[in-house]
Amino acid sequence: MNDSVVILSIASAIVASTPILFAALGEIITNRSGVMNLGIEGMMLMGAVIGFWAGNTTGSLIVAIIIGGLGGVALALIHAVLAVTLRVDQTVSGLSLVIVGSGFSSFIGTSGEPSLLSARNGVDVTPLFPSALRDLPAIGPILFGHDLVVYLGVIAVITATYVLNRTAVGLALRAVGEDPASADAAGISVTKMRYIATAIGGFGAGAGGAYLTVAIVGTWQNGLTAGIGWIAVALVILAGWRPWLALIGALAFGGLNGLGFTLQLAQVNVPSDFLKMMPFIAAYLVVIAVSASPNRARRLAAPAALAQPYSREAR
Amino acid sequence: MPLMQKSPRTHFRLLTALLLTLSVIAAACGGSDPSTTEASTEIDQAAADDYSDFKVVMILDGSAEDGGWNTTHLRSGRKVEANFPGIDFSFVEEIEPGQPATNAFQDAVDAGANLVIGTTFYQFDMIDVAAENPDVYFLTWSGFEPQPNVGHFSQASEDGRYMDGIVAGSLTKSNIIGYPVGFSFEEVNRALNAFTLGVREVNPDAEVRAVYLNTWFDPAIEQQAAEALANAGADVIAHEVGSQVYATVMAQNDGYVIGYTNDWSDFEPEAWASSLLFDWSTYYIEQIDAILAGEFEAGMSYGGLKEGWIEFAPYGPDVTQETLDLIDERVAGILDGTFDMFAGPIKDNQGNIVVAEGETIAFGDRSACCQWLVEGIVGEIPAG
Repeated sequence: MNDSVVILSIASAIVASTPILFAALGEIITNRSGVMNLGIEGMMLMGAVIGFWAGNTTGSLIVAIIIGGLGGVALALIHAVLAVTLRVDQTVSGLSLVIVGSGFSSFIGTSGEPSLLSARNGVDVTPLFPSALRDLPAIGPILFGHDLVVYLGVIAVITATYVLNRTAVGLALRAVGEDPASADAAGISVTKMRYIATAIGGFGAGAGGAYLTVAIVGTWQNGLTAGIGWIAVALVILAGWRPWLALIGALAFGGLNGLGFTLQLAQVNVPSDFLKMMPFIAAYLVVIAVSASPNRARRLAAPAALAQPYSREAR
Repeated sequence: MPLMQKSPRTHFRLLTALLLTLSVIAAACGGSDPSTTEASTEIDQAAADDYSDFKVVMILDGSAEDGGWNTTHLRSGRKVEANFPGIDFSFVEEIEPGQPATNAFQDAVDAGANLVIGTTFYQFDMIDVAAENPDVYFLTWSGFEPQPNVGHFSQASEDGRYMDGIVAGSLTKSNIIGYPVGFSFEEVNRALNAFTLGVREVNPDAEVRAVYLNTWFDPAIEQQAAEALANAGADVIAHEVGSQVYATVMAQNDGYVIGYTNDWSDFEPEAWASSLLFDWSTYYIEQIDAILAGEFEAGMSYGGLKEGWIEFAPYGPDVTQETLDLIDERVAGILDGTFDMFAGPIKDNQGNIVVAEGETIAFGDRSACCQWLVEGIVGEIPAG
């Protein structure tokens, strides 16, 4: 039973959704503080290449994920300096980050002799749970068949939801994103909050990228993420800036390519370009629904001060 | 392929330096991409030979380190370099078809190239450059538009693909062989058909499942396709122009991988089965000789085993002697003309006779084949 295409495909989709989940979760934190960072694709690429290098050097999945996350943080801090301190247009700065990240990751990937392009994966990805659990019919491969990082993704969703909604830090972060002037008046450092939130976003994207190279693809190529970062951007909007909705959305979109191939193999031909459009069309529909409906859906709307630089003097 | 050889310390220093440079790059140019075009020029100054006046520029569509298509072209270019002492050979990589390719051809001409080699379907990108520079010669992969200073070339990959099919057919236990490819067109279909004919010679029960990816080179997509194939029971994966991801996925699933001008025998030794390898140097060298002798002939060149364009990577450890003997027999048959894989009757996978009894597809006509998939392939040529 555990060899059936359906069960194996669901298990594959869960793994494939993990990079998107990490990136989207990070961006949600960043956005909730009022900073828009469109550079996810670039930060993911940085994390992907640095994480792959770290995995090769140390052989450890967790080290690869952390180092990859820090690669994302390095880029995110550039964005923080530009967007928060220098109050540059956040869209421009974020888009530049994509270009810098893609170029710089390619540069790292091709330097060194031999370069990372021809390196094999140094990390042996092992399932977290014993085979007794993994061999349970149906739920074994789906729930217990994965490595540690997949479960860390779920824990991160729970933690993010709790911290955002139930703690003073979360309240402060949301206050900075909704009404920075009031938050400032209440003694919260808007700059500090936004720097931290942007760095967390970078870490999520970088860690997601590292998971992609180290645990899924097992190789480095220039531009490896090929648009996953943009799916994460769409997913954040689609999820209405809610971590648990991002989890569901990541599961739906992470498996899209795999679903396309599984359908092809079952002789059901759905154009792959159509499947690739799905996340963006879904995001459009949600944006339209939110702006068209009077109140309930407003709760799924963007933080009020999203992408607005804050300047105390400008009040 | 070798493992990383540098010590962690060296890498750390390198990385620190890179991270420091990042801020400088970001501050200095904000939106510019430091690495889209990486030119590497190696000029042999030492040998003041007859050939030092001759400049060859090769334009690669992907990374020279892709371990496949472009690596093979560059290796062939290096053989050219060795054959003509002192020749000025250089290459540019990651040049996408379209305006970047036109610019790359123009740059090569401006840099004084006598011969520009394009390694993918650059036909429409180089056509004007070739017309405006009649004194410069061009060789470009595939293509058809006749120009007096342009040579077109395409490989008879079926000659090698048939042998890879024999390997796949003899290795599979599930009788399901996966074959992810980028797009569907004649060359891809022909190779897929030859592969399947090879599979079915040794294993008539096996089926080949074609999956179309809509991209030439995207490891993340390839991984998902390979995984979908493994989930559907495939235990051998062959492909056309892909990354070593296929080897990784097959290694994880105790299956086998067949390359497309890739040698991954060191990369995943347990999962390694076989691969044809292209050697374009015979063609390049012939053409340079012809240019130097003033006898260049434009038009299409098509080459396979007989022409010396195809060789084979080392076979994997699980390929039996029996299989190797059969391959030797078939290779010898192609070389002396006694074996013809396209000899009729051949049915397509819709049940129509496509090559009637007593007929065949002549070698010279093969580059126009095929707009059908042979019996044994599960999959359809995508519409459009």
